[in-house]
Amino acid sequence: MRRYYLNPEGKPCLWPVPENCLWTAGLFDIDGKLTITADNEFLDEAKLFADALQQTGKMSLAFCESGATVQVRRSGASGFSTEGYVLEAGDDGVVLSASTPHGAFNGLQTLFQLIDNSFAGTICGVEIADRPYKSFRGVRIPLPKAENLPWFYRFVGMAAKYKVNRLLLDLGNAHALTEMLRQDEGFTRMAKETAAYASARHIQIVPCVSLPSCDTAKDLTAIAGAFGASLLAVDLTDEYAEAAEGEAARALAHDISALHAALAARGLGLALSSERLHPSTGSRQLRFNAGTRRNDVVPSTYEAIDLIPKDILILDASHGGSTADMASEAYFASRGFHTVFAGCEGPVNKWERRSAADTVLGAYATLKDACPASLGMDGKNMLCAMLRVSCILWRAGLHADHTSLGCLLPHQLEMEIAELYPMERDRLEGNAHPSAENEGYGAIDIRQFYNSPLQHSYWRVDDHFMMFLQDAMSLPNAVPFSLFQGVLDFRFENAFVMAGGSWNNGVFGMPVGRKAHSLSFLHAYIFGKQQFIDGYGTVAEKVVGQYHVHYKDGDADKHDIVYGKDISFWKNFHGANQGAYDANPVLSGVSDEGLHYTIFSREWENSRPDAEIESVDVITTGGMDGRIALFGITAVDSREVR
Amino acid sequence: MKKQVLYQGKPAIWPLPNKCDWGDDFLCLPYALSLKCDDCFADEAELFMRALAGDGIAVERATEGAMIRACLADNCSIYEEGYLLDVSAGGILLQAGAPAGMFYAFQALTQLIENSEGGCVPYVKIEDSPFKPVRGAHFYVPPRKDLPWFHRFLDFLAKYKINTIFLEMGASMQFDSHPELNEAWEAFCGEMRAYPGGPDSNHWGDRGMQMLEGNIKNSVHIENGGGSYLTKAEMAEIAGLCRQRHIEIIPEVQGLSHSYWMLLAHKDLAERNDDRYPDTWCPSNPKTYEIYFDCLQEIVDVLRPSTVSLGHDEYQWVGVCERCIRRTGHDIFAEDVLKCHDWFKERGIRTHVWSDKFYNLVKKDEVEIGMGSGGGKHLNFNQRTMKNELVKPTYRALDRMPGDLLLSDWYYSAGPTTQDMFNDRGIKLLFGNFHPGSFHDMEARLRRPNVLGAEVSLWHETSDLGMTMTDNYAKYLEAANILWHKGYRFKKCEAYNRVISQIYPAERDRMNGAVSPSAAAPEHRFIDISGLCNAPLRNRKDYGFIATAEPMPNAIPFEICPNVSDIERDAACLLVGSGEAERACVEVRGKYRSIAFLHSYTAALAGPPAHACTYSGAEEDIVGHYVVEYADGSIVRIPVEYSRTIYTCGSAYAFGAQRANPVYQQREMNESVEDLAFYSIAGTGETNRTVFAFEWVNPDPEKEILMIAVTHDPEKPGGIVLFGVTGII
Repeated sequence: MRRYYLNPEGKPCLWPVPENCLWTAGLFDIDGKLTITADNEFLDEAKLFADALQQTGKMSLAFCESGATVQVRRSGASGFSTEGYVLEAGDDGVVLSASTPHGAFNGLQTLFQLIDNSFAGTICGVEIADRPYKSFRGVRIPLPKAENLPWFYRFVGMAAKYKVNRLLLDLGNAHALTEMLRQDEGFTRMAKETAAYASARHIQIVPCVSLPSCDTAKDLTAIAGAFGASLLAVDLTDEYAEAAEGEAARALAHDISALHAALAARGLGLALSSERLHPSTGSRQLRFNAGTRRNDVVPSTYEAIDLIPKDILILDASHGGSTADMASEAYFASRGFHTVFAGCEGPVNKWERRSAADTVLGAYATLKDACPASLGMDGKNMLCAMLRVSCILWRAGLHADHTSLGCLLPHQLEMEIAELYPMERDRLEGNAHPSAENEGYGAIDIRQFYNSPLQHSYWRVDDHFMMFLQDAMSLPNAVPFSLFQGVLDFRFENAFVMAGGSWNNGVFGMPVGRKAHSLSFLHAYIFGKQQFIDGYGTVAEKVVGQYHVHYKDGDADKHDIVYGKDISFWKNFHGANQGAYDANPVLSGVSDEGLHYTIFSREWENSRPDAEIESVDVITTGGMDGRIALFGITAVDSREVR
Repeated sequence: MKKQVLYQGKPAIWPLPNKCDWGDDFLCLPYALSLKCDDCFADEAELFMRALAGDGIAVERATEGAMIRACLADNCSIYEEGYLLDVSAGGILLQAGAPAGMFYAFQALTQLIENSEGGCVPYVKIEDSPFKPVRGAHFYVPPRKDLPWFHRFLDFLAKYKINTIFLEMGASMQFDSHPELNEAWEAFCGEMRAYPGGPDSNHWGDRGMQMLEGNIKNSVHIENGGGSYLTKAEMAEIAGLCRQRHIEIIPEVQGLSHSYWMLLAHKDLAERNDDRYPDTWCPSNPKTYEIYFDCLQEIVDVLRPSTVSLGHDEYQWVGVCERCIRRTGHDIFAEDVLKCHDWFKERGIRTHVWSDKFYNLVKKDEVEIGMGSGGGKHLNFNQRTMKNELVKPTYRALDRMPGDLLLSDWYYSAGPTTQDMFNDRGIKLLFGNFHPGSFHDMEARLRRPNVLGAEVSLWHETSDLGMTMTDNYAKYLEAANILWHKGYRFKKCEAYNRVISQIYPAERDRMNGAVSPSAAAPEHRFIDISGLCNAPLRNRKDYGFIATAEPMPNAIPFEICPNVSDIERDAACLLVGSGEAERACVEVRGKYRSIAFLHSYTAALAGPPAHACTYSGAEEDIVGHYVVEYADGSIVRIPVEYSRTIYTCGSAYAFGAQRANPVYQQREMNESVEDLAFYSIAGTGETNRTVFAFEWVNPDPEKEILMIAVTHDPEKPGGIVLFGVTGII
């Protein structure tokens, strides 16, 4: 498997896509080491860049006084935006110009990718003049537990690499948090370190807290101080259930105004979710109370929008979902507010039009749980969402691709995400699969176990007509699989192994007959109702089957197949990763019927690489109502394998 | 005439060394050089001494006080092919860590001495090693008559650090186990030479050999072995010469497809038994492999290769026989390669195949017809049956290929990431049929970790004749530099081409065992054609640049338009044809060892196709004649051959008339920007103008030449433009 990541034109992936990017014929051969000079005010950024390069293990970067191959300069030229930069790479090296440290930092992130995603120590010639489309490019994530801090720092570094500049940190109840800051020195230190770490990467932390009443507003100052924040996102939890008809909005506006004044007095800004300030979600409604077994009335609050200060930032959660307002940003803009799109998984519907307004400052993606094992638990996969969002907010003029599953980036960019996602996931989690380290692949011949054709005459045409797979091509950087072995007529001949449902309980004894460092399975979940794993608790991960690995010496090993982690429904966003967050997309595209599909491979490291594997079983456990379609198995081994 | 070839004012060493620090002073060499050499480099030293002896420079072995010392390097950073060369007041020191490195050090030193003026070599420190490990050439087995030339050709390749040759074997080596293959091959080649239109008659509607089965089969290659075969002793000698010169032979023993050589005598093994000249074997017939492996064993015994190519390109009859019809193309292709791979692996030999059947270039919703789809499912229209025939896809065979397979990626123009598809599977490759001009993003793609190098192919007879049918002399030199010199940049290729233009005529003459009179005798006399001039320089083509351009270094001098002040209007050259007179006479009156014609052709003709048979259609390239009339009344007719002795002026340096030498050159770079979806790509185009001089060697230099008539074939579309004539005394 290769270690470089290219766009379809064969040039290193640069993400987010720069505003102006001209690839030239120049080439710079690094030959193992680079030298750098940076103007004094950009030294910190240059050091971070050097550290990041060092960590890749590909090369070292030495600072020098003059004649360096990478020169980071301050430009006095007009026309530079605060975060913008100009990067020119050619035969003689790289010159990066910016007017601010943030611009230099962004340019260095691009340069890092230019080097890290390239091949064999080469910097491709390019001329980039870049600047962001939107100023608020965020990701929302809960405060990590202490044991997850190393992961969290890697995550922040990755977000900065993709030019995210706001980290909305879910901190929970403001009062409880303030108490922790008072009493727990360790927590305070962690908060300050986190803030410093993010700040060095030009990411502003936006603490997101819930506030039971306006009386506790004073707590916010300590929180803002601890995290070095100048903006707080506050969720006022009082629903004013006791308020008289028509008074709840006035009461909410009063509290917000008081809170705003308290924060403003301390030089802090306020951001509020749109949920209670927009008619689609803030109108009078009934909510079932499980305790009383009755419906409670939640009074209308949306009228408060006309009563609160206009410099409050609205976190627009009304742009999508079942109660979407397709012009939510216009609603708030007409009332004089600036907004950011909240909880985005990609471009919001009608992105081109809706993002164009000056009052839309940006957007953010949301990760529900900040720990490695939950990376993919957003269903819509937060990592992919962050990559999408960072791109749409940086590069102006991107068109959203509206699909039945949501809005995506243009196909070419989704394909780049499909390449970047597994790499970033593995880096975040500190994993390297054997396939990333080895170059030997051996396709296992499972043709005699094929028990299902791509097209069944009795299958429902819309969901289970997979004839298009016969010509599907592997994505770049995917483990190779030998597919449809021996199949001449795809209409009638069995072309893959199907396990589960009323079909069978599993398929047993598929011979491997070799040693392997790992086994990769190309599989998908079919039949049954497609279920999205989503981080909001709708559907939990479910074990839908197991792979049993039998060794020649009689020993055996078992790997659970977890829906949403290891396997996903075949109908999926093309290219990107949705739902099978530990798996890698291999076959992806759009069928003739317009269905987006992605088939994932899951690689399991073999605990006994020196023992010969005799056979493999695929067994279903019935956790869901579908079946497992197994298209191929590949052993990852030395170069001599077949 | 100055003989030294310079690059940036210093003696040219080709390919350019990767690190080269020139000093200001010179080391003046004595008449006889002395060489002290470590024993491990004795063979390399011997070849070096022989090469310099050919230049008239004597080198003696010495034990002490030698001018040249060749030592085993104590520097572990010098790897297999790397070397150090240090010329200083203390003499010349060569260091290498292995014989190949020392061999290349000697090649560099040979050129340094050849290209230094007056026997004084400038001080220099060279630290050199190759950019790419595989720097290759591909050709057929040479004809027996051309073996002496071929041996010198190997010297040429080695001198410029080409280290790999793919030798297409066919039945051009004597097979003891299957002499019937040699016999059938000779008979077939004889038949094809007599076939109307030759073996490459393949136009639609043409009922020539290529269309007998309705489909183009391609790659008949009757030039292989000159249409015959060499003995094992001759082949072993070639292998020995290659080993001495650190050239690895990769025999290409075409299997599955293009297997005429085997099937002509065993038609029962063919995939189609209704084919008079079958070229595809049946991979489901075990007997196929019995014969193939017999032949392979003999080839392996003689050549002792470490890699063997199976060919496997342009496989068109995929699983059509009764034995194969129930098998998929993917399986057939994969299992055929794997069967051979296993055979080689048992013998410690690496397997090579061409890559085209591993691509799927069929676009969604499109029906591809013809070979351009690579290994994708496509249709071939059969001219005989007038039906479309399905060609089964083979591309999924790639997913079963072993990681130690070596490929030649020759569909690199199909997209910018062809090499990366193979790298995803851990497979190494080289670019086959390497042609930098048609290669988008070549410099970056050569830097991919799985790209080991490239090879330049010759699809003509392996001889001077075949070489000059194309631009191959120059192409080898160009590729040698691209693959060795890491600092190669396309934008500098004007400077590179100036060097190539000076090297190749001399090397061509050396390989032909002839020194041109202009190189041996510096005296010349301009032959006045001004009275005949009938066209201005800006006429059918823009030749205006030669009025002011500097001639190439080492070029034969010409008197160009001596009385011309206005190149737009004044007649400055003689145009014959192209609507003007079809004949003109130049008065000579003198004895000359050779006559050089500075000329150009106004029309761009197709020239010999890169893949057409060398033996067919050469007469189509003759656009006219120079008819030399001696005082005794005898006459010599010199054909003016397009792409060999004359060319249109739109070529780049050496890439034009291969038997002529470039004299005037102009190059303009055009920059362009291609806007893609999310970014732009800068590109460069170029406009080149070159005028060549063809030197005709007078077979009777003692006889006085009265005149030379310039005649043009009225059937040809252009005209011959003669700018000057120089006689070598």
